[in-house]
Amino acid sequence: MGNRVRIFVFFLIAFLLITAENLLAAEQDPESIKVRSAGERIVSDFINLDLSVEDSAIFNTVSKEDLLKYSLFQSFIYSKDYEYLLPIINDINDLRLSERLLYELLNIARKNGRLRQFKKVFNKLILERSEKLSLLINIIDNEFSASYEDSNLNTFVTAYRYFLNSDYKKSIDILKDISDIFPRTFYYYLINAGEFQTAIEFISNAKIEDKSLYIALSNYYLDRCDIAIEALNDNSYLFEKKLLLVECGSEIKFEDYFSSIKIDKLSTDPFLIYVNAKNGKFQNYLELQQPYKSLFYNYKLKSYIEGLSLYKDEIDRFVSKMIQINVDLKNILEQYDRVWKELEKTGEYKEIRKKIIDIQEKVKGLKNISFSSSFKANEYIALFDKEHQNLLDMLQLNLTELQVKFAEEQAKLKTESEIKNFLEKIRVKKKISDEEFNDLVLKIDDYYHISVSKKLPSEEELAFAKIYVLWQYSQQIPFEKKGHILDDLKKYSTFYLQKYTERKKDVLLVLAEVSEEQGKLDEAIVAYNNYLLLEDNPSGRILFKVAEILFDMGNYEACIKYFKDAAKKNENYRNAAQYKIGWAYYLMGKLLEVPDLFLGYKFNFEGEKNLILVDELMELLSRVFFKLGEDKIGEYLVKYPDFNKPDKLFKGVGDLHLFLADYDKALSVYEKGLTDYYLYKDSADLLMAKIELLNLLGKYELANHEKQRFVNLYGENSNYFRKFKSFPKQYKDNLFSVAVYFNVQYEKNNDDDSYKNAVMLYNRFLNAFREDEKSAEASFLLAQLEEAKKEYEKAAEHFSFAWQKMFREDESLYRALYCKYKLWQENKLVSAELINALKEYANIYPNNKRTVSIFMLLSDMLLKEKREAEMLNTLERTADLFGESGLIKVTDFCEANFKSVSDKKRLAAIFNRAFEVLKDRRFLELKHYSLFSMAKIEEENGRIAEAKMLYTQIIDDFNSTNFKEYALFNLAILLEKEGKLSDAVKTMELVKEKRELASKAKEFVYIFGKKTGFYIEAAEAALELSEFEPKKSNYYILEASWLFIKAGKFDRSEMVLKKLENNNITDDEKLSYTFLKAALAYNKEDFNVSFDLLLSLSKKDVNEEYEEDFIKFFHNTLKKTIFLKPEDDAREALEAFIDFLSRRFKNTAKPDYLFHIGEVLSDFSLFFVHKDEAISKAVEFYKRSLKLSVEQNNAKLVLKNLSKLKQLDTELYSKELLIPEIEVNLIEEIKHGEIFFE
Amino acid sequence: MAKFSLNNMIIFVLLLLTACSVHKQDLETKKITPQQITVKEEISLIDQIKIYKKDKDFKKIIELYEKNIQEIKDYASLSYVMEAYFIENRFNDVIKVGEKVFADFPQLNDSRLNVMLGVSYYRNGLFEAARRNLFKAKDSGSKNPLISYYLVDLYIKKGQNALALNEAANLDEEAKDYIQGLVYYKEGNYSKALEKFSLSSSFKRRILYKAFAMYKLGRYDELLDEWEKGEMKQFIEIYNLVADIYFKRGEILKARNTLKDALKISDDNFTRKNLENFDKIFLFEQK
Repeated sequence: MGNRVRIFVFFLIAFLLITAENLLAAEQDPESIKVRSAGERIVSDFINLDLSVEDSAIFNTVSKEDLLKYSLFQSFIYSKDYEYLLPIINDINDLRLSERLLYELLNIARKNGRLRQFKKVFNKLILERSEKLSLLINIIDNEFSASYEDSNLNTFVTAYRYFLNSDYKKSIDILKDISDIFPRTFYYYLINAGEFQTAIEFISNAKIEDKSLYIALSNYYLDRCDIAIEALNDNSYLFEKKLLLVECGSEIKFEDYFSSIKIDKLSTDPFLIYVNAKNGKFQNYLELQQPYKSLFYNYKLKSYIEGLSLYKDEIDRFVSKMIQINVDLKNILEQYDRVWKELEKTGEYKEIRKKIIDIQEKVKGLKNISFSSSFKANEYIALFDKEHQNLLDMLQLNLTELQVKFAEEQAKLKTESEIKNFLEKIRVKKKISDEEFNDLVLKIDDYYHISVSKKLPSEEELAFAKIYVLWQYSQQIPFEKKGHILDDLKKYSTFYLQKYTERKKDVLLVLAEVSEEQGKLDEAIVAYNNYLLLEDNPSGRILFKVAEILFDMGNYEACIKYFKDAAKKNENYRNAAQYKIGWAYYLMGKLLEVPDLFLGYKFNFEGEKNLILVDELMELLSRVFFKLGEDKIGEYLVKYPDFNKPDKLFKGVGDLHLFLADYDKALSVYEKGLTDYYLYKDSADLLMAKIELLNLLGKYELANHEKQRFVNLYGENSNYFRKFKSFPKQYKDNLFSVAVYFNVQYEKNNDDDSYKNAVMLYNRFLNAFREDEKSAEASFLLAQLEEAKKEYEKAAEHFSFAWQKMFREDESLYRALYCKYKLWQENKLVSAELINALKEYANIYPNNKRTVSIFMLLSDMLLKEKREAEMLNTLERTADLFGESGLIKVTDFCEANFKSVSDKKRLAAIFNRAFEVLKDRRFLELKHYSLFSMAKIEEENGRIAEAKMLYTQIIDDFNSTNFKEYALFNLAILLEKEGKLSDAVKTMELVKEKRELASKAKEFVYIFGKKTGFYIEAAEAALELSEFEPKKSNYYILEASWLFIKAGKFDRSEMVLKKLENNNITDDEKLSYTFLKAALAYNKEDFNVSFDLLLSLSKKDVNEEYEEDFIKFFHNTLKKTIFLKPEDDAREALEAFIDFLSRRFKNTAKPDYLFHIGEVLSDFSLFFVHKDEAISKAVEFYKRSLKLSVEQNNAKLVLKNLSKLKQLDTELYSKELLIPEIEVNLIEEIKHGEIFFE
Repeated sequence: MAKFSLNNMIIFVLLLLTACSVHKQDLETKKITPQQITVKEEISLIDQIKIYKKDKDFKKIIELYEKNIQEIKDYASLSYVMEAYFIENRFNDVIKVGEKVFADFPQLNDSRLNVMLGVSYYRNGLFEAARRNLFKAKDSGSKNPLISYYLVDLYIKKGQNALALNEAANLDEEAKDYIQGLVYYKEGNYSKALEKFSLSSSFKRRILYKAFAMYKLGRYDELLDEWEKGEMKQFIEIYNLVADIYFKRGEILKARNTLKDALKISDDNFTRKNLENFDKIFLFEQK
């Protein structure tokens, strides 16, 4: 900004000079303009731009001191005394500013032809000498002989010299290369050479901030005002633009401007500031505020220097500033005086304080104005400083005095204000605590003393405040603690009455009430009287109080007047006063006055207090009629027909008789009252009183009778109810009580009448008092009666009502649901809703003992509704929630409904749980029973795997029951059916305990053990079976023996066989026995024995079962023995064997027969005449056997035959199947085409 | 390299256009084969081969080649012809054409041609020549799995099992397992071979090797169980194994029926011989 402004000032000067209408120049130094050509100045100015210190923005940054020194410089500049100005420049801290001032001085020197002197001074300067500045001096001095370190400067000088010779083209050529360093100079040369267009182009590309200014200037040269103004459209150039506008004639002239504007110190428009300054509107540059100040300085750079003659007034301005300060001081002093006066008048503290602070601030501000004396200030400044200091000192002194006085005043004011606040606080206090009371009293005392000593106006108020506090406090504490407080009150009240008058009445009243409270009625009466003397218009309360005191003093005659006055004064006291007057008459014995006083009297019955009063009044009247006789009541009623409480009077009279223990009289008075005044509002009280009295006398039956009478007299159909549309308050209780009475009677006697009465009365109660809290109980009791009579629907409804009213909530709801359950059982209710309700009950009362029963009802319903899974869930939940007790109920339920439940598995789980928790084996049995039943069902349904699992569960249970063996038995059967014979046998083996199973189990093991090769097990089973079945004993023994042989247990077999020795055995059994003997001998390799036995058997029929073994044994025995036997024996045996075979296989195509024949022929060929023939025959037999066995798929025999044939016909029968060899070949299955093209 | 004449260019453009239209019609209605194209006469042999190739009509390529054996001499055409023979399993012809191509264009080292030639030599039992060409293809950077398959096989044949497994590493996991199984089998480690064969389900012959491995291990029941499942019934060799097992167990009728069933699949001498022996032993009537 600074540089731009400065440049523009040059620019401004340039065109002002060129247009030869230079206001500034003319004003400032017309002579110099004449002496120096405009062109010259411009050149030097342009040169300066490129050569000298860069900008005037320094004024924005230099210190205040430097600015003042600068002003001083400006003030003295016209002295042209370089010797004087030099030290000022030296004194300036800012180098750029000092250089700038030096430049100004140079210009002035140039103007005044005093360059030599300037140079002398310049050489003396302490500041750093700039080469550029030297060049400038030389240029101005037309001294071009110097050479510079900076070659650019040398070029510049050369160009300049051509310029001076008006050889602009040459100068342009020379400067061209460094035109970017000296753009403005170069530009100016171009302008001078008339190359405006080039100049504009050049400047447009030049790197200078103030480009638009130059463009504007060029256009201006070219007489293109519009473009020039347009070029300054940038907001930063408003000022310059205005100048241009003025110059181009587009705006008003300066003169017009001057006349039209007013001083506007706050204006930010530089043009306006300029115009103002130019027009001398600113008397003092200090008047300008930042940021205008800096603008103003900027102005001064040239506008001051070049155009305005303000500098010479600088000192004057300092003086005027001093004067201004003096004025300020005076103002402050005046202000001070004003404050002082206000203070003496004790004005608002806050305001004064503010003002004093104000003054302090101003003084401080003045103090801070310091004009540095480091430079060689003139005497004015010194004078100013001195004067300034004196004034400040004086001001300070006065200010101190002012502050002391102010402090005193302030303290007093503070105390007063404190007391004021304190009293205000007391005034609003409603309740005073014990601690607070002591503090308050002490504080009041303190303040009171201060007030007295300082003569503060609050003294009397404080004295009263003490009485007030004591009075307030006395009202809060119990009477027994009041003693000394009342004494104090009396003391301070008396003190007050002696010394002060303001609140005398109040204090007298306090005194009177204190005396009254102390029981000093005489003193109280005196105080009241004094008070009444002062008070023209005493309140009803006071009058009533006075009357009461007189009443209490027994002065009945006198008190009547005050009571009457009080009643007149205040309507609120009317009833009480009347009552008191009545008593006064009564006490004076004027009985007849009393009824007249009241029976015609209009009472205001509103408000509880008055009702009490009426009761008391009735008591008074009752006392009167007690004395006059109750019969008089009727007479008075004739006189006062509007009197509506004869029933109450009878009650009162009756009560008095009762009080005096005259019961009969009391009863008769009550009865008479009731009889005569039944249709009066409170007549029921009479009957109630009678009932109570009868109860008191122990006449309960009569009392009950009266209660029933009560219920009838005041029921909804009674005349009373018709009249008043409401029941007497005792009706409800009586009704309930009578209902309960009949209820009890019914329970006792079980009679229908009582039942009906009770039900009827409960219903009446419910109808009349449905919303009453007792209605729930009534409903519950009624429901109980109905439930007993199996009226479940009604009972459910009434239990529900009781539940809704939260009477025995859980029980009511339970019983309501139970009744509904009963209705459901009777098919009078659908299940869904009830099921939900039962569930809801469990949700509401999860831990209630009745919830178990609810769950049972729910389970029962679910079962009947075929919602078994849900039912089981419910049962499980019951067990979860209620532990042992729940489990007992659940298991009972499960047991009872065992058959109906199909998911026996879950039942089993429940029983299992019960067993684990309750440790009762019964549950274990039930569990197993469940599983067993389930297994049977599964079996029936063909789900064998499931059935097996269930049986296994029973079997594997750590705790076993009777069901285990059944399960084993059934499981074994299942396994057998599945063909898992060995597993079946193993399982069945475990069935041992159950007799009814054992025989079947053994039979099973025997049969299937034998089949599956479990010979030992089968043998053992057979042995046991021999025990179980005596008839088949021999058979099983033989079987056992044979099975043991098969198992290789020969000794055991032999032992078993011995059992038969003593038994009677049949022929068949004998044959078997012999075979077994033979088998044993054979196996023990006792071949001679086996030979004999087998030979003997061969002649008979051998048991078919043993046949194969017999053949094997016999054949092998023959092989072992035949060659050792005599030939005849041998042949006999052989023949016997062949005979046996022939016999056995006669007419059959059994290949084994053929095999055996073949075997005999081949093995015993030596015994045949034609040995070879025997062999070939044998081969023949084998072949035939082979063919048949192949056809019959008898693989075993096939192999046997093949084996024999291999021995006899090696070549053919040794042949085996050819097995191809496969070669490992990966490629064979590689689809090379596919892979190749993948 | 054949040069395109202007005429050829026009035809080619026409061809392209036609091909485009064919493609479009393909989508819309029906497939048009090149024979239906009216400009057929104008098409050069090479272009014709290309069209057949595009339609995967390899037989036609062969037909065209064999008719014009003197005219078709360019490398591209000959390589297509080689492919056609290769796909049609005419390995002798592959070799003939291949050797011709390699003689006419000695500077070319086409790995595809080397693979085809290698495989064809193998198929003709010329294992060394096969090995040489496959290695050439491999050396010129070909990743064709055929190379590894054939090299593995060649290694196995020579008993160079380690090399075979090393080469198999270039193949996918299943192939690797299968080859490992084959190597175990070859080494007589049948139980390990069985494990590997169960992991290589996409190779059909693993069933055969599996059956033999079971047989050799005496796991007859297992083998019969598998047999009953049916998968094994595609290999006549396994019929013989099963028949033998039945025979050993004395179940002669089953054994005989198995053999007879085998002969229904294929009139195999081996099996026939077995059946004849059977009938002799068990006096079955010869049919």
